[in-house]
This record gives sequence, structure tokens and C-alpha cells, in this order.
Amino acid sequence: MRKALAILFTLHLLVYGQTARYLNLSFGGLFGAGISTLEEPILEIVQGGAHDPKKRGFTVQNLELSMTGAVDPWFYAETHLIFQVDPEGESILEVEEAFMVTQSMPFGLQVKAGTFFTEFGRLNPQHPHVWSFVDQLIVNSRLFGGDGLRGPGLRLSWLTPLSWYSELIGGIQNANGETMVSFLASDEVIPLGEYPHIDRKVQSLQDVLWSGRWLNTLSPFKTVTANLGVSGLWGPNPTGQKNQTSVLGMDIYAKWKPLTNNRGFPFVAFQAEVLSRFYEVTDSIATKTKLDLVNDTGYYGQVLWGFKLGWVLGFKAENVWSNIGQIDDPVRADRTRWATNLTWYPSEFSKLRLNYNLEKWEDQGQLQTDHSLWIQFEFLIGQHGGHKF
Amino acid sequence: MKTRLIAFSMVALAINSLEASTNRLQVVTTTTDLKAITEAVGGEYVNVISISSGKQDPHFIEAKPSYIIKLRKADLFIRIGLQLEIGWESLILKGSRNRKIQMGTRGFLDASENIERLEVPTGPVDRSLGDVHTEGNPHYWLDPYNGRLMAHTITQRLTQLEPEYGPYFEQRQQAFVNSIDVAMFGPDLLEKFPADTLWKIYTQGNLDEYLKNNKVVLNTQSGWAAQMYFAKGLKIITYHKSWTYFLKRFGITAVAQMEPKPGVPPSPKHILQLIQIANNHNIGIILMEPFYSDKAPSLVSRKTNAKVLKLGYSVSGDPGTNDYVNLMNNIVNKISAILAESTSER
Repeated sequence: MRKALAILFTLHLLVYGQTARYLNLSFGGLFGAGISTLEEPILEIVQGGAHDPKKRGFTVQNLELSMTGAVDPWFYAETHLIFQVDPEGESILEVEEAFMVTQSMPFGLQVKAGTFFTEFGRLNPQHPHVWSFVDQLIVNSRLFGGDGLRGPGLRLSWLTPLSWYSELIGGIQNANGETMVSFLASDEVIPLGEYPHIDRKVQSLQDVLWSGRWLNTLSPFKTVTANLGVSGLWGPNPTGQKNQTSVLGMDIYAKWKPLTNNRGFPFVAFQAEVLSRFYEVTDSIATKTKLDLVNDTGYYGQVLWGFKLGWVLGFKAENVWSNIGQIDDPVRADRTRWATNLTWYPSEFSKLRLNYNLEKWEDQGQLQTDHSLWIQFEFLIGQHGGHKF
Repeated sequence: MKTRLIAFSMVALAINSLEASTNRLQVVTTTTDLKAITEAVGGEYVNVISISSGKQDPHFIEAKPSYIIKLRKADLFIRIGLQLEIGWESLILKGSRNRKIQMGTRGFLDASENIERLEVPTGPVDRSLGDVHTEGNPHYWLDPYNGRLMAHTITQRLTQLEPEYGPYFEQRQQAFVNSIDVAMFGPDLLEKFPADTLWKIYTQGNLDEYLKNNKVVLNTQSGWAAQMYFAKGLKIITYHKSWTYFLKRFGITAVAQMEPKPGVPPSPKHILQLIQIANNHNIGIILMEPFYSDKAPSLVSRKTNAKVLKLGYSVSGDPGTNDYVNLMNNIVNKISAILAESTSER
């Protein structure tokens, strides 16, 4: 009994202690509920993100346990474990991220090692509870899969000595696994399933995923800050022994907020990204005939207006297309989504969101229009720090 | 020849000024109050940048990358502490990749080190109670006595980092502390009594008796102590618990806050309760910071005798508050003016 009390007291100190900060724990729950004119098998495909509301009724979008803390004077570490309940009601546990970051490297250098989201664009490295709309962007679902592009690897970042914030990031990660869509993802999530594919092994530096990003931040006025980024990915795909995929992207995030704001309100934030994938394919692995460079491109733009303390109104437009033309598979059909939402944040640790999506998509050459109305609610308990700008 | 001489002189001047700027300790503070005190103590040997502008709520600063750039080459980072900066500080510190200023190093200073904390929770705390600071109320800089302690803490750290300028920092600290003492008690009282004694007696609430026993009276030259003489025992409403240290220093009581719980905006039900409280206690002042919405305070004001007083609580938050003493002057002047007005109305 005394031992149990001692353990409880130690845990209490670890989590709540005034001075002991060995482990910061937080747990977040994100849930969706709603209706859609889309039928359920199609709804799951149209809502391509693994954390999207996927069925009429309720969806457990994301349950996330985060553990962070300093390892020692040289490293800081983060682990994010995801619990999900899929549309069939089955519980799933995933390691979303687990990595360490150096804290003491000279010359503005920093190394991240472990398994983590690839730092491409603005949305891919963000966790679902940070998103401003209920679902993942169509272009991200298409190019990076439902769970986002992530995997084990190393990342080097350099905060350059320029007078403004200018960061160069380069990474190398395994190109295989189900979260490496567009690269050597496992069979069930290969995005271009109609082409033959092989079991490709790592034989050279061309068989891993390389990533690069250049992020610049400018503050033209005291009340305005803007992030401008360009990103690139290069890695193998399974349609041939030497076939490669590259993805290029640009992103912008600009925010206006007066100095005398009340808990961050009012504000206006604009965010946009454009992503394009170039996927080398061959029609026959035996003859190694190069067929084409398959291209998928998409963009989105969104505006958020924090018009009153705790209240945010959002608008978003998304469009995705491919160079293959009319495709029966809705996973790769041309898609347009218009979305608007109203979010109420009672505090920084909870939110309630009403989100409307207008979907336009091609099905066997016919343009379909569908409507979805979702409610999303979130809670966050424990120690959860702020988010990157 | 003359042209060459001028060119040479200009190059020498440029090198000199470059050396002078690089010889300075690069200090980044989270608030303008810390900046003002650090500049007062550090003088020409420090170059200080504040992250907050003085008009912002320091609880809710966004961790912008431009702040990371400010920290990148800093020799010293000074924070208010007591979780005031908890939402954004670690993001910019880690983001800066500056080994010298991380927590636990000599380049990291928590200015609350020597402060006697108020409102430290004694029972269990969770977020159902609102934004409770588990280490105590962080708005300690609003007690001028704490301004002295902060100057002492900062002087010690500057001296550790630049021992050769220690006597210089010490001398400037004395001058800064003296400026607070003069503003608080006036030159006449300080001629007759040691400043530490006056602070001690004032803190105990016995200044009147002490002066009476020594056959001295407070007059208009007796600084904030005289200006706030009639404020003693005053009851007011504040928006947030930002003024606890200031009010305690001058014997004022905040009977309620506009926020039903820390960080929670006023609800209609709470506003009705506040109207009742304000009428019952004959509240004359609702004290609030300019960054909060004045809708609810104005409503209470219209239904009661209370006047809404918007006051910046940081250096540069209001016009004419460009240093620490002027900040306190502004606060004392505005409160005492309302007191004088309400007294004359009666």
C-alpha cells in the first residue's frame, strides 16, 4: 500500500510538480458527427483523411496521448501516440511521432531523429487538432495518404544567420510503409494501383525519401507576420526499379492581429498551399518501357476571421486535378471542395465547430455535387504547450 | 590627404561603434518592464530588446519566428516567470537554438527569484478553476517595492556575466532604487529616515503612527505614499487579478473581478452579481487593462457609481510611461485623480 502511494506521489510530482518537469503529459480527444448526401462507401473515400469524419453519425477522429520533455542537456524528445476507432468500431493504436531533437548544436543547427512527420508544406506536419477545418485537405490525402507523410529518419535544420527568420531543412526517411503514399507504400495504399508494381528494396541512396524545405518569415508591420515556404520531396516509387516520385510545393501563411488583442482576438489569417506530384510509371516492368510522368496537382486557400473573443469564422476552397483525365476511381478524380465553418473556443483547451462542405467530384464522367454538415468537438487535458506560428 | 584622413576617421569610428555594440550584453526580456529595469541597471553595457510591446497581454503572445531571431544571439534572457509566459516561452527558446539562454544556464534569468509571491494556491488546482497560476500571481512588478527587488536580481546576474562592470551595475542599481524610493516617499521623508525603514513600516501599515511618533506629517511632496493615502481601505473591482500586488501595497481591496474565474470572460449572470456587489460596496473604480473588452465593465458602470479606469500595466502601455517610475506614476496619478474627483463630488 505504501509502495503504491509512493508511486502515485512520484507520478503526481512528475506530472504536476512545481519544480520537477521530467515528463509533460497531455491527452486530446477529437470527435466528429454529422450528415452527408454521400452514401457511406463513397463517403469514406471522399473523406480521404484517416482522421476525417467518415460516416453519417459519429466518428472518433483522433485520441492523442502526447509525452514531451527534456532528455538531458543535449536532447529534447516528443512522443505522440494515436488511438483511433475506425468506422467499423475497431480500436487502433498508432505511433504517430516519436523523436528526439538536439538542443545544443552550434551554428544554428538542429538534428531531429526518430519517426516523424515529413516537414513538407504547412499542413502535413500539423497534428489534426490544429487543423482549422474538420477534415484533411484533399490534396494532402491524395499525395500523402490518410495519415500524412511520416516515417523513421533523420532531419537536419539550419537557422541561417540572415536578419529575418530563414530556416533550411533537409531530411532523409525510409520510403516504405503505409504512411509513405506516393513512394514505397504498402500494396493497399499504392495511389496508382492500375500500374504493375514490384517489391523494391533499399539498394542505393535513390531508394529512400529525401526532403527539403526553405521557410522564411517576414514581419512587414508589427501587426502582420507572414510565413513563406517552398518544399520538395524526392524518392522511389514501386512501378519500376528506378522509377522516382517527386513532389513540389509552395505555402504561405499570413496573419494580422492588433497589438492590443484580447487573448489573441480579433485576427485575420490567410493560408494557401499548392502541391504537385510527378510520378514516373512504366507500363511493363519486364520491358521497362517508360510510359509517362503522371501528375497530380492541388491547391487550397483559406481565410480565418477571429471576429470576437473565442469565435472564428472560416472559408476554404480546394481543388485537385490530374493529367490522366476522367478516372472512375473517385480517389483520383478531379475534385473541388468549398467549405465554411464557425468555431467556438470556450478556452484554449476545448472547441466546438460547425462545418459545411460542398463537394464537386467526377464519377464516370458525371459531375456530382454533394453536401456534408459536420459538428466537431475537442477536449485537451494535461500540459500542452503553444503551437508553432 | 584631407580626404584620406576623413575616410580613415570614418572607418575607425565605424569599427569603434561596432566594437561598442558587440561589447554590450545582448539581453532579451519578455516584457517592457523587465527591459526598463535592465536598461536602468545595465546602462551603456547592455542592449535590451523586449518581446512584448507593453500594449500586449503578456500571457498571450504568439510565438512568432521574429522573436526567435531576437533570441538567437542573446547573452541573457529574462522572464517574469510564475507561468506568465508559459504558453509561448519554450517555443521561442527552443527555436532560437541558442545554448547560452536555455533554462538552467547563466543566460536564463527568472526575475521572480526574490519576490514574495502572492496567491499561491494551497489546495488542488485544475483547469475547472480557470487560468490559475500554480506558482503564484505573476503580476508582481506592479508593487514598486518589487521593482527594487527585480533590479537587485538583474544586477546580480549582469555582474555574474560581466564581473568587470559589477561596480558600474551596482551604482546604477542604487540610483534606480533611489528613484523608486524618492517617488514613493518623497525627498523630505528620505532625508529624515532610511528608505528600508520606511518600506518596512509602510508594509506593516504603520507609517502614519511612525511619522506621528516622530512628529512628521505626510505632505504633497511625500510621493506615492501621500498620493495614495486616501486610497487605503478603498474597495474596487478589477477585470483580472493583475493588480493584486499593487493593491496590497497601497491598502486597496479588490472585492471582485469582472472575470468569474481567471481567464473566463464575464457572463450575464456574473455581470448582474457584479452590479449588486458594486452597489453594496459603493465601488468607485473598475480597473481594467486596455486589451480587454470594456463592454461588460461599461455595463456595470452604467448601473452603478463605478467609473471604468483603463490602465496599461506595463512600461510603454500608456503614453508617457517610458520607464518603470513613470509607469507607476501614471497608475498612481490616474487612481488618485479619480479618488480626488469622487471626494469633491461628495
